[in-house]
Amino acid sequence: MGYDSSLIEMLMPKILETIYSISISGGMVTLDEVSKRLGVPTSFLEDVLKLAREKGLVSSDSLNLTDSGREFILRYRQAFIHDKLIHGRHGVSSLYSDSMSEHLKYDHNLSDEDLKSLRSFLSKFDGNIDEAEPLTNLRRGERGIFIYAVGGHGMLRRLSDLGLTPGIELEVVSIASLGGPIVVKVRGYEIALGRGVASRIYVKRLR
Amino acid sequence: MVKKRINIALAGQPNVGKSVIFNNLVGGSQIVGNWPGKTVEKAEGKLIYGNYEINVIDLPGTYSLSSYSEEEVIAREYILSRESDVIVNVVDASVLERNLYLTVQLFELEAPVIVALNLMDVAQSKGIRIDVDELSRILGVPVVPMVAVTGRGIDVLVKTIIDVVEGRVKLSPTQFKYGKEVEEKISTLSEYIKRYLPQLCSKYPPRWLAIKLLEGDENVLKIVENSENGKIITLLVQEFVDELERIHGENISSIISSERYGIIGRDILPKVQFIEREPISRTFSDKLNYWTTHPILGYPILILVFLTIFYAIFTGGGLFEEVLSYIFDENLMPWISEIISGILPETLSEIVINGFFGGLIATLTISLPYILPFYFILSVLEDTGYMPRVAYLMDAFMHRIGLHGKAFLPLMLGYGCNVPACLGCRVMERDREKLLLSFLVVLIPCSARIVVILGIVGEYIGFIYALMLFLINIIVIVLFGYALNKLLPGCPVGLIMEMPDYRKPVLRAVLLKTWHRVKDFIYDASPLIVAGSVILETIYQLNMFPLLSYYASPLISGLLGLPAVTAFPLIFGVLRKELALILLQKVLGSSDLNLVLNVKQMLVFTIVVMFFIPCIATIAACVREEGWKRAILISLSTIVISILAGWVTNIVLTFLFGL
Repeated sequence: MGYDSSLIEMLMPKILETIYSISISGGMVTLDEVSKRLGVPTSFLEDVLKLAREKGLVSSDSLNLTDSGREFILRYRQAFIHDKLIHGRHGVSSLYSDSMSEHLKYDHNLSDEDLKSLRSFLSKFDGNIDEAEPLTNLRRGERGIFIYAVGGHGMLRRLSDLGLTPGIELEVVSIASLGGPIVVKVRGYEIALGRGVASRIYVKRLR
Repeated sequence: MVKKRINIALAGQPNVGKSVIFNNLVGGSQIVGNWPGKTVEKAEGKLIYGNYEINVIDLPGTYSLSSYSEEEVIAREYILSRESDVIVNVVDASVLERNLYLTVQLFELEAPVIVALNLMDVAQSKGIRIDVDELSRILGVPVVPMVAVTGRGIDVLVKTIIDVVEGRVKLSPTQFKYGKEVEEKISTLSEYIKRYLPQLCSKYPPRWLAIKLLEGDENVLKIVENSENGKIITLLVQEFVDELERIHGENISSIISSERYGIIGRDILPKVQFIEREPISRTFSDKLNYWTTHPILGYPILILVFLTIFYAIFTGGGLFEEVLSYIFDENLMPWISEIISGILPETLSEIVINGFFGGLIATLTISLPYILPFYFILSVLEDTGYMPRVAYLMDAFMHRIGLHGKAFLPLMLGYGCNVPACLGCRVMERDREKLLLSFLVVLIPCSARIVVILGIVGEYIGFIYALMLFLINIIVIVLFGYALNKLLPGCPVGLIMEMPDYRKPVLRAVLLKTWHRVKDFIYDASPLIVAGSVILETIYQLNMFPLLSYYASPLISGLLGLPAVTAFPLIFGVLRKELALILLQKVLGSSDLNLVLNVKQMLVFTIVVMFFIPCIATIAACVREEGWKRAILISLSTIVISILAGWVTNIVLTFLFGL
């Protein structure tokens, strides 16, 4: 079965990156190994390799990347990290989400050490990005714009399902005493957020 | 004539009056059970209308159709099964925006949806006017305005359902378009899905699969990854997600949700929802909300509410119980025992009379006076919307023990009967919290144990001491919860909860809810209580407890300082908690406990009973909810706690108070 050429083109960087990862970690690069790592059929990989060879990114007689292939990968990575971390509006917060850490670690060969130093570097900007501050800083009656939240998949999805999506305006309706929940009004209805949840929601205060 | 069968399902968000519509449709014909293999409630009922037999399923109320919770998965799997001819999407007209969020997702599932626009009266009182015809035109499906509590619109709804099934009304649900970048990805993905995963497309709409893959839905991801060529698709999804996150600078689930809200805010709301006037400055609901969530006064109000309930139920219930026991014990029992002892030999007739009939009557005299009114009042509080306020007030406190505010309701249910409390632990979203809560609810003294506490400590020592025991109970539960929270792996989850407006409860809905909870007691608990009662009487008749006392004496006498024979009421309290008092009188040979026990022994005994193993019916409920291993663990924990608590009490009273 022939695969769609645009599909092949879109996935080529990912496949090449996997080949690169295997080779720099000293492993034997074989089609089976790549197929095992990514879970895609070897027939598809062959199609991808054909295109990569045409573009001169993989040498014609082996599975090794050519010099321009390596350069291609490095640019691909750089663009990714650059976009994700510097331009990403959620900035450093995304580094704390598990999926992102996994992603950086496995797909981009960032070690735990790299991740840690990246975090500490970016944490200097945390909170300053877009003047975001935790929801817990707001007093009763104050309004803010929801910027982002830090947390697991479940929590983030629950928040956005309930209408707390980036850019939405919210108002603090009441704050329970003794570290209890904060009630916010959003889109015309009220949601109670435990203090822990609220402290991981970043808003831009409106004056 | 054979009636034509129609299957419909109700889908909607929580607190939209879905169950009121369900009750209006099917009345008393409903059957409530569980979804197969799940601990989520499934309500089903029938409606006969002209020549039609309409089968109605009430799907769990969910805000969304992701795989965030078991409820959401069940709702969407059911809709995908295509068993229903029509899906009625119940929508709260006063919170249209958020409710349409679910509607849009139902459309994505390509379900045969019609909209029941409920709570029109509430919307009106908030000054919101909705152009129903325009909404129907934009959505491409019928929209029926309703006020379910008064029954307005029910008839039209049923007629519309029939019109749809008979093809007189065509559904042409609009396929809403996402923003440009996202829409591009969705259509590219669904093209590839159609081409490379044809085997999935017979069961799932390809566009829906594409959206869910982008959203990172775990269940759909798994389904796709497990099919041939699936990994190619998921790799592509990863690329797309990276790209979208880069463009939007948000995480993907926020992007998709924002886009959905964008569809609603751009394509639907401006044309159908008009704010006629600002809501009247402060409605009664707002004032009630203000005081009941007040950072300081909220707490005394809460305490007052619950104390009043408990006081009313245990004084009122006490009176009621006396009336009942007059009817049963004084009049019915002698009559029954006369008949039975005429037929059966002596020992056997004792077993039947005291064991079987005694157990049956005890079930009635506990359930009718205490459990029924307690659950009635609790259901009223829930349906008015007070319980979310309670959850709000108690959240900080519950966090100390690794739970959140919503756990308060099951704990309260426990004071009625531990069985519905065990089932109520389902409100917790995750397994960890559910397990933790299950450990705690079985320590709450149920009405049967309260009878014992009041009957021993309240009667012989003083009411204030009985209250102190309740306080000790709460302290122990808090300490245990605190310890469990430290011990169990994982971290506690925070509270995210809608605060619905206060509403006037509907009597019918309250009665049904009460009945479902009492039913747990009558159906699940009472047969086991009666069986336990028969076993107990048999052992008693066979005169086996001297043997038991002999083996239990080191623990009972040594550690707890009680007469060895009290092992009997303690252990067999497992079968019937409220019998602990009567059994105690039996084994000690006196109905006046003052003559046979001292104050210290009474306190120790009561404390042990208060914490000791949940009754057999509760254990059964626990097994069903949590499985054998956990049920055993939970039961063992109560034994350890009760012995420890009794031992500590014994020591404290002996050495500090010299009793």
